Amino acid sequence: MTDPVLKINNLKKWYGNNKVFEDVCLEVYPKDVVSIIGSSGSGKTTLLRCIILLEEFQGGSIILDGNEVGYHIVNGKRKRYSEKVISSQRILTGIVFQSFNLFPHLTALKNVVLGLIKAKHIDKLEAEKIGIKWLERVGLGEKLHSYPSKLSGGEQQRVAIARAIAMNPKIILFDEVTSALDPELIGEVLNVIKQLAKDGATMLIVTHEMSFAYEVCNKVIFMDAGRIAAVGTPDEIFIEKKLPRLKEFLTTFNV
Amino acid sequence: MFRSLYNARIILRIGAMNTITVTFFAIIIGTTLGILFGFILCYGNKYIKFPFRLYVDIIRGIPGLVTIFSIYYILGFLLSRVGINLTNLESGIIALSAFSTAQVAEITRGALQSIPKSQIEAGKTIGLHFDKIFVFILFPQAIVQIIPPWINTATEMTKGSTLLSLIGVSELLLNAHQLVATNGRALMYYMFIGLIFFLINTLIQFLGKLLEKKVSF
Amino acid sequence: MIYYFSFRVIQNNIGDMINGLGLGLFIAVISLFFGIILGLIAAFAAVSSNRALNNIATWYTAFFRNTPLLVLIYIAYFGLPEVGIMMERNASFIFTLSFYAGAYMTEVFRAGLQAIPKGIIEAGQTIGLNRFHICWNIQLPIMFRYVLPSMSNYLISLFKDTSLAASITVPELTYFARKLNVETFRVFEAWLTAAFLYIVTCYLMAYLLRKLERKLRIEW
Repeated sequence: MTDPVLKINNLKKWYGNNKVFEDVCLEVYPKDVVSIIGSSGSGKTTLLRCIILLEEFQGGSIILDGNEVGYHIVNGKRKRYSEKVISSQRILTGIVFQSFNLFPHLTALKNVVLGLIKAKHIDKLEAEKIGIKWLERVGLGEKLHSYPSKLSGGEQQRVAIARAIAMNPKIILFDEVTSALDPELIGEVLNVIKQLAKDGATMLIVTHEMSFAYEVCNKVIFMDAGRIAAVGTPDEIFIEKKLPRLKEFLTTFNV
Repeated sequence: MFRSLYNARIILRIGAMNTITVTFFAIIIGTTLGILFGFILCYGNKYIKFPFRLYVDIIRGIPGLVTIFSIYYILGFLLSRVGINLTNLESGIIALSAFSTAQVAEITRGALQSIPKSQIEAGKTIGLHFDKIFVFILFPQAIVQIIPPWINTATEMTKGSTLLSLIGVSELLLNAHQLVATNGRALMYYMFIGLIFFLINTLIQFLGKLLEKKVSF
Repeated sequence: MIYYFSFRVIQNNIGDMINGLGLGLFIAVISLFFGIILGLIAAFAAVSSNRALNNIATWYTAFFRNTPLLVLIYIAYFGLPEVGIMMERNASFIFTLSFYAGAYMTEVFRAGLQAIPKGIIEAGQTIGLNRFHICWNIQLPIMFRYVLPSMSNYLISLFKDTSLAASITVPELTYFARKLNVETFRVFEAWLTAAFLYIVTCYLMAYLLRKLERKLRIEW
């Protein structure tokens, strides 16, 4: 039994007096494609942001590739690592945002290679080879030197995917990556993700696209009001729908 | 240090009076004429607009100081030929007002032009003529946009009043020169004057924020 | 009322006036340059999480924007020598104008920085960039292209402000215009020429800067 790529133990987070989530436990193994579903406000996005250390959390631990990230114990007290360490821990994970967040002043290729050159200190020519490879893989080989403003939403999101995966992370997080897209553009992005799954990438996907989740993932997590309410295979979650809460949630999607 | 400032208070009081007078008139005249000019620049036909456009563009294309010197010397020359002698103070007020009028005109024009034409049409459909449309519909909306830059103009006038020291108006800065000439200690006197202006302008901006709040909807 | 307008007077003095104009342009450009540097430092201080830095930046901008430029000029030229800082008049004026421009630029840059969507900064963090790289490779390029129109407009405004240098006898255009007026009483020649030169220069600057902006407007 191999070790999990990502292991979350009893994660707790509050915003002021509001509990965002509590006692969240999760394991993702290599080549797993896990989807997280749930209504808005259930904490799914915040969970992803905690994993990639964009948010703080007050309790529990996140273990990536065997090492605990984010916080360590200093003199008996729990302290967040310095920015420098956090930076190096972040690149173990890749994330694709709902609103793409491409750098508007850089071409597609430059968007993809910036992290490789500045954070991973890869030589420029080498970095460009990697960047071109991934942009071609997502179907944008013709658009290497286009600026984001000239690309459609689906194309921008695919650049964002290439940017995340070019960094060669251990796990890639997808935060509702099709929610901001026009319907006809959703397919091209989902196809890219499908292909990545086939190629063996380890992924954690927050999505509302239920049929996609059923088709591509090998594990589905249902989050409700800050807790993990159900975990199972796609069949268990979508077909059997053991929980009433889950049933209620899924009917809004006509599943 | 405070002793000499205290002793200077009499001179400074005259200076303060003049600074306030000049600024006050420049703002009042500038606002009144400026709004009028702005109205013309927004709604007038191209022949009526022309002289006003020319006026505003010239004043805004030359430095304030050049406006002040030009009006002081040229107007002074012209009027002296017909026997009218303007005091420095009067020239100063005219010059500063000319400048503020041009600024307010631009601000007003911009604000009025930004109100969608549909507002005028809506007013017409409920039977109003343009004069009432302007007073009850357009101007109240324009005022909200005019106030922030207008506060800026007011602070510009306050600061601009110091330029009048260069044409001999006995306002605060000129008085400061006189004190420095007799007592030395330039740093102290100029910083003190600077502080006064800083406080006045900060006060103006504070009042401006309050005014903004009152007028917005 | 007869006034003999004399072109000869203008002819004799146009050289000086144009030299003065050139000096004014030079001063404006240099002051803008230093002002941009000061403005960048203060803008980052203003948006940083350090309270003390925020306050220093706020006081800096407030002081230089609410105090009349003429007073600032005198403080620098007449006041500073009393504490040992002496500068000749051109340098003193550039010194003052630079800090003055810096205060304005601080506001411009601060607004520009705050207009950058937070998500873009986060994206930079998620690909492992450290604070310096995010600032240099992401924030600054985006911010500069955003504030370019404001900066070029401000250069024109700064150029008009150089007329105040005449108050400490820096030999720029306004100084010569006044000198001409006072020495020859040729009121119209002096001031109409000066006004004409300023207007033409300002419009020319506006035209050229607009062209420059269009050239620099990268595809995005």
